[in-house]
Amino acid sequence: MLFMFRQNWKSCTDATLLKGVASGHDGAFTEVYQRYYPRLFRFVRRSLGPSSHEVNDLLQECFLRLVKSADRFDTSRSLETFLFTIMRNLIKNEYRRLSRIPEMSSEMPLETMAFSDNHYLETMDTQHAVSRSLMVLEPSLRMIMLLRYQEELSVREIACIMECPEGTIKSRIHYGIKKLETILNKSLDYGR
Amino acid sequence: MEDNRLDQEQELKHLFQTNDPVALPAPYKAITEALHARRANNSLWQKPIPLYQVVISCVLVSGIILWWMRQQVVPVSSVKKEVLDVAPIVRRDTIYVQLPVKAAPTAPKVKSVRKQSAPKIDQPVSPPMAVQLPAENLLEEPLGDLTIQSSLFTTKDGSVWDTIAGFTIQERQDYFRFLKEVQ
Repeated sequence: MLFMFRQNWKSCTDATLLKGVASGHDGAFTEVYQRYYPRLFRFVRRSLGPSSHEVNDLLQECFLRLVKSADRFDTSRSLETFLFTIMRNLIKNEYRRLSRIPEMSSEMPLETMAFSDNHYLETMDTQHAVSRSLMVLEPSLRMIMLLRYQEELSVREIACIMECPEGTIKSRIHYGIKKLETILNKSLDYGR
Repeated sequence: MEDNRLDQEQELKHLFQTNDPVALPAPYKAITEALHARRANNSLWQKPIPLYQVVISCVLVSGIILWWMRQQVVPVSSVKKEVLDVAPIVRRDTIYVQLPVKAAPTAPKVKSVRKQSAPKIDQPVSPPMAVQLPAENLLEEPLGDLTIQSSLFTTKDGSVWDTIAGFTIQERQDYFRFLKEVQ
């Protein structure tokens, strides 16, 4: 009832906003959209690759699912985790649809990847190198690395999103760092 | 060791950051339609009212009605205080008079009498006599339209008292006789 009279959604917590969305309030939804769209956009874009044209459609689908399932939301979880879980499922579906999973395995030779562009290698900075190296990782590992170091989520939150034990996430992160290190070193050697 | 690990974390976080500008497109029509559908489903008249809310409402309404009805009964202590002050008071706060509000203006008539002290009888009256002289009969005449609900009780020393004003029956009888003479 109080939502009818609430005007300032900007100062509300995520839980309150979600209740507002569940009640169908445009203001609450707009605030959630503005808070999370940029973060989800970067996550999807780096997960699927910059050439993907499905990013906006996937994001809209994610928010549509949020609106439809807002009343079934488990309040013990955060809205951030909830949205990233939806997004992770959508990305998985997208990989399945494009049959990218076997192609994106880490066994792919680096020569076929973006680092084959020598000119680009000379000019790009370390951040770009990391972004490109990420594309070599397998999709689930890439998502874990992005959630940990781009979105700065805790191991527990990532475990919740990826639906696997915290120990697994820790070992995957460790493996991901080593893998990135190898890829970056190889790319630098290749550049020389 | 721990410091090195934290430094590595910070460095990785820095390397993963991206400053790509993100344009915020308008939500698809399907989303706004879903929102409107939610609002329609959550409107007040389509929701079942919980039982506890119904019970609380009923209790509140009946409480207000009872309070209003209670206001129609005026306690004798507040309306006829002058009368009660004449004699020693016994349990005055437990006594109520069924008194219409319009009867209140009769009070000054009694008040004028109060200036002269009421005669007192030293000897208490025996209980049988008290029964023969019910309080209602005695009060009807001097107080006009007032209807008094009263009861008699016997104290430990055997004297009979009227709960209305703390009179003994004999005192009351004499007091109203005195009132008649004054009028």
